[in-house]
Amino acid sequence: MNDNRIVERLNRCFEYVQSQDIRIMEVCGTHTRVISKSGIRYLIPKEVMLLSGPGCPVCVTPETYIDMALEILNLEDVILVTFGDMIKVKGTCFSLSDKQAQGSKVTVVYSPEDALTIAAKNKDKLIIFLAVGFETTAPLIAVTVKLSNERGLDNLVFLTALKRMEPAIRFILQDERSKVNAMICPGHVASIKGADHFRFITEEFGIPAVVCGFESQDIAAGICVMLEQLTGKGHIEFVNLYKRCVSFSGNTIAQCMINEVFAIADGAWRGIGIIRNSALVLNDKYEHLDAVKRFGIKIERYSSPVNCLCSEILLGLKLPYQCSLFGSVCTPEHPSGPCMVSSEGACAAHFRYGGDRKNG
Amino acid sequence: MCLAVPARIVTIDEIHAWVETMGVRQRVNIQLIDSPKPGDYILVHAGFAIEKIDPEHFRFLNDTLYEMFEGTENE
Amino acid sequence: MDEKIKLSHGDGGSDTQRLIKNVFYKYFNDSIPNAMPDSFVFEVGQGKHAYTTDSFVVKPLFFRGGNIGKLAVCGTINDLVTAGAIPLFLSVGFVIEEGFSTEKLHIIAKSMRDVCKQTGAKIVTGDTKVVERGSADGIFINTSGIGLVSELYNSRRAVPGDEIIITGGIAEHGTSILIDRYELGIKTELESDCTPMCCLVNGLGENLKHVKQMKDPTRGGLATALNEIALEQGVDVELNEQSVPVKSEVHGISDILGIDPLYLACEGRMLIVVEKGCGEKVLHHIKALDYCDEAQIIGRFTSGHLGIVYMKTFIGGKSIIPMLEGQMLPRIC
Repeated sequence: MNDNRIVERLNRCFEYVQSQDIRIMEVCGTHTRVISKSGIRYLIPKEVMLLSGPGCPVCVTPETYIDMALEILNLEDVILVTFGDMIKVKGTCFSLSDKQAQGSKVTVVYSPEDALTIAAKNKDKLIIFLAVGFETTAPLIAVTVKLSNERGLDNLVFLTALKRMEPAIRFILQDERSKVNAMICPGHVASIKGADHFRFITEEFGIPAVVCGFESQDIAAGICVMLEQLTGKGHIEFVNLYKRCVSFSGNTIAQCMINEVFAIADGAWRGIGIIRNSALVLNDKYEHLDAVKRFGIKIERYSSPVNCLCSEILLGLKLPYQCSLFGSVCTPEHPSGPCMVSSEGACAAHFRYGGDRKNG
Repeated sequence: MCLAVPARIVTIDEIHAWVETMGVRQRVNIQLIDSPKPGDYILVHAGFAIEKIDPEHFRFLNDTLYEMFEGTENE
Repeated sequence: MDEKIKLSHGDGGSDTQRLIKNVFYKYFNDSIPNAMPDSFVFEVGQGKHAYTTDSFVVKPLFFRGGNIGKLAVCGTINDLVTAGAIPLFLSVGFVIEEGFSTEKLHIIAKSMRDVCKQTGAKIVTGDTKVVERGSADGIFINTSGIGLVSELYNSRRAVPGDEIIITGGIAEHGTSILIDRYELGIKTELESDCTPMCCLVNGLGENLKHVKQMKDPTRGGLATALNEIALEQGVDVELNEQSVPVKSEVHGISDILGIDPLYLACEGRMLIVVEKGCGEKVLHHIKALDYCDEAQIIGRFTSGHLGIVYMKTFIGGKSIIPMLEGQMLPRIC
């Protein structure tokens, strides 16, 4: 495998990196995971810090959402259908797997379409699908909602916590404390929304931004391009290095599907709080399929856990090891905060795959 | 945040297709793809095809990366 | 018609006798033609013996490339192999849920017999219990085994420089189980690697002298097994990502589901620690054995004494490989 070209050029950039700290943020959990697992941190100097932003839907889903799901499980004849990611995420006190151990019916699926099959097979039961994800997953949920409606499956409802990436990135870059010097853009959100969707990062905030794929070489190439821009070897511009899967304007069918089924609303982000216009909720036409409306659940106000630095870590202000809970109270087995919940959360990835202390 | 893998469409069955990734076939929903055809390369996320992959850019994934990457040098 | 197992099949009366006669004697009578005794009597003789037990509760009971019966026999045989032992005698205990299919029981017993035939191990005693519907999930099996330890095998501590061999592609059992457990609508030729590994003791001959330790990477996969070895020995392990054999189908499925093959179980592979400098020589002999043609040297013990496992990655980086925490589930992110 000829990775040398990238690694060699990456090494050359390090000569230009003087003593200044450079903070590169990625806002996609899968990027976090690849960075950790491929040991890229080992290849870069300590001045270059790779930070993990709020890019994992599981991590940023608030405790109150899990609490709602747990409350619904108290009803009779209910099957809760979810992606595997959500199983061990703790609500205020308990997770879905805790509830499963008590006898509640929780089914893990790979595709949202499986919820349709389960609903059709269990007409006498109520099926709740936990619809989490960013704009990559939202179109899939939209298709599932429409198919469910067309097929008259009135025993299937959706508990949504779908998020939009762009408001979260703005939220980070607008924060005066933000020390982010460059941004690796989420490749698969870009597949749907188009590379252009992230151009604002460079145009409005004047920092390098690169749309990256998910091989370790993709990320190494992205880091290299951004370092060259930051050290004056290239001018600062927006670059798409993931052209094989990301076009300029994205997947328009998928975008239409999102617009047809969802409306934009304010969203609660675990560890951060409310970000304006950052959520996708079922629109008027489909609100009869919304679990919150169907059950008249009261949504509680969101507040983040005590002593947990997740908010600062997600914002790139702190590193996992700087949190007093990290590795002691808070581990992947017993996660206190969002960054430890998903295997791609900044803390969990760091706990699993290690990396230079300085680099978090 | 979003796990997706490249695959090639083998056969199409209305809103679904059998697609192949590294010797593994799976059935995915193709409603989000514009005029899918057998032989097309697509990106699969959670049982759905979410975007076509440009065959020019597909080949071995890295070739394109190297080309683009080298295109950014000396700009 | 497929007769269902009833509670009376476990009460020791005539139904029990019939079940034992029709199913278990039919397959397990090689060594004891007429009756399986409550106790099997044998002479211990010369040499060292290894003795082990394991219980099997796999779901699904039937998976691509095997079933719970095959797994129960292979598992115990492979545990004996890790001690450098040739399996001699096995016991088997069945806990069957009321309503279980007799036809399925036949298939399970037959595949247990087939593995025994292949390896020369004999099932010499057994027990059957039937529990009420809902008290078990189909069938549970416990096996125990006694084996004769090869005189050539001398288990000892690893030191820096010792090499680590895996006898074949990883994660094939774990991946197969995942596909069937989550009804993923995936079509693939991939099968579980569930296999008895006796050939390592029988077939390595004098080369067994160079082997310092063996471990079967079952639950928790290669990563967990390597961590256990590193911790036990108090020596760091360096794993070379590029040389770990992973079938393309395993890659495909683990990419689709977002699961790391390093953590998925093998049921017919062995991790072998070989003394420094003998890796290539031993590998050459291992590759000639049954089911071992994909064997590779995947890493070595290094000078660190923290007992950690790290991996030299494709791109030239370094990452720590911890033990498995929690359950592996398909994920979207």
